[in-house]
Amino acid sequence: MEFLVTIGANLSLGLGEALTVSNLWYCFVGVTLGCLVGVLPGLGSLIAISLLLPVTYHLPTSGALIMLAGVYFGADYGGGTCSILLGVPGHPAAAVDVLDGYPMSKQGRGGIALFMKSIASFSGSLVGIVFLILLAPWLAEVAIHFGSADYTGLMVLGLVAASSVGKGSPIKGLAMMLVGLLLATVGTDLNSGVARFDFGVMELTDGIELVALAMGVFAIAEVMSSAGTTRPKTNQRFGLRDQMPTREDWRRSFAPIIRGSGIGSFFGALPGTGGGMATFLAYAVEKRISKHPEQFGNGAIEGIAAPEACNNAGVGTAFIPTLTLGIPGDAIMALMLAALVIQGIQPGPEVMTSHPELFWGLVVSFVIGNILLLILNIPLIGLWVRLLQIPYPVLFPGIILFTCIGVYSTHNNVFDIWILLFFGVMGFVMLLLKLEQVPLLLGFILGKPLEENFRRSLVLARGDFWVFLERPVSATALGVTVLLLCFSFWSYWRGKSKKTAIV
Amino acid sequence: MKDETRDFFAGTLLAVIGLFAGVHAGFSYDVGSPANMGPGFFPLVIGCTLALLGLVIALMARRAMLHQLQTQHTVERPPIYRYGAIKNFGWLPAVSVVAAIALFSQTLEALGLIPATVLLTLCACLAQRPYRLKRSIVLAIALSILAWLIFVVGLGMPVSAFHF
Repeated sequence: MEFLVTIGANLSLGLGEALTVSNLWYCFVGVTLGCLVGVLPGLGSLIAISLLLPVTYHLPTSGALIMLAGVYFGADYGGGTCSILLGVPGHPAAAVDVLDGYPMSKQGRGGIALFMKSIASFSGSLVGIVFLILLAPWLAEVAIHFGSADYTGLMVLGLVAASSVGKGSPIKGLAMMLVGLLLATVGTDLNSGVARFDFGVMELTDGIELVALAMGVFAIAEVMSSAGTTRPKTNQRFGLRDQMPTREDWRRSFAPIIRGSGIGSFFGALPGTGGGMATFLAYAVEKRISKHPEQFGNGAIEGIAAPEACNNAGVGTAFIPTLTLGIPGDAIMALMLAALVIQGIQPGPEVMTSHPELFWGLVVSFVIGNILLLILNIPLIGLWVRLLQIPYPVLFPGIILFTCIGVYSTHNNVFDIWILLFFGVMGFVMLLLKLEQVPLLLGFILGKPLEENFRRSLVLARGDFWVFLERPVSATALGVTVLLLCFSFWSYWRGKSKKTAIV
Repeated sequence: MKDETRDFFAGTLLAVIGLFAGVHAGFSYDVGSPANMGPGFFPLVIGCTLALLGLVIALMARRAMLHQLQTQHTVERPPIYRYGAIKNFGWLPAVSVVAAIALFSQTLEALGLIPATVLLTLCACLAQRPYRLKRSIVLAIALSILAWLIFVVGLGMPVSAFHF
């Protein structure tokens, strides 16, 4: 009972924070921009958030986070539109919507698919937010007692999980994560004051600007590789009436939404499972337990409902480790963390106790943002669909321009545009060589805190490396890391030998 | 899938980066001891690990290449000349995007926001397929007005629209 009272008090605190005019405005701007960028093909939530990161330099703390979170939710809502109507995933996380959404759209049921996508996203988000409300305070309380050795272990676990579990080769992911860690060491070392890897360039002693790195590696590299392409267009139009699902559709979607939300909530909180892996799992589960598995791939509404619920439930729970431990599970959460650092807040369990209005305001604004998104997406869907008619050649010069100005505006220094260009070319080479970009960004963001905690824990232990195995939390984290490494290499080799066996 | 040549290049590149970082950190900065680490310790360890991983990637790829050579008597061309992970790969779009950004960075403070935006847009538009001159010019004008309205008028960015 006492527990519920605390939560109630916290939520009312959050309500007070989130319902200020300025925060409501930031929330609205965030979800609208997120939706806009999510609908446009080729721009996922990751690019959307890195594009808006420079803006947050000029906003108050809670406004900045509320806006970025709004962008994340909004991009997830908008992301499926392109998949459903064009059969081309706008970005990887929405790829699963193609499977049943596109067939539905070809059957003239595209409006219903879009409607159910919004409903499922909304329900999934709410489930994720409930888990966030229940679990985050508890985890933050536990994490207060963590020492620097524990943080080192947890960060290693987070980094290894996010870079080795995934579609590509685990060893290449790990290598890119190490490149990210190295890039983080550029600049002045906080302990000794020595400038590292600055090569005599004055600007580099401040370190590499995160905004320039993220936008270069994601946005510029993407534009470089796709600027010469044309994309399919649609001229479908939707009103409210075209979107109304039948009673049968409602009945069939209910349970998949619940199951999808459960799967998404669980995997969202774990590191390394983002980027559509959980959504495909939710899809596979529905197909497995369905009485009509043959309908999947031919326009089964469950194939929209479950993955979309899963996707958005994961957004909510992904904030649990990010806000309580300061350890992000994927690149988007890493950018959220970076936004906190830009605002001068040290991420960690203290955020909840020292800035309760920030945390709870953020939670309440999630709910508000999702209600706004439901309004934006159901009656106004026609507007978003019309965005798909913008040809890509008109779009990409604008993306380049906004990236350049955004990077310039962080310090009003042209040098940052050169950094942007450098990382754009690097990201392009990485695409050519099939090296993943996400581990690089994650390594870069966690590099500084990892080095700091690693050094501090060894200073405290007088250079004794056993300290990492003596403390239960860090020992468990490192043990799980080793198991995870074994598992991912084993499954990669198994997959590879199977593939060669077929060839 | 012939990923081997690509992986060979990737592994070599990573190994070189790791080796360079490790050597640079080890020689230029104080490494210290585990109990009292200097600024070079962490980059040295990370650089060496990266070099090792890169070496493993390159060697594994080389073994696969040799294996292929024995069984098929053909070697794939290096991935730089093939499509790789990018569909519809072409040099022109990539180069024009790079040139557009470089041009923007050089002209933003020298000429002002509007000329820089026009140059960026016209240069980036060279990438579009099929190329349309009229669309590029209209877009350049529209984007420069938009950028000026948003960033200079709206957000008060300290850049002048024209700077002569």
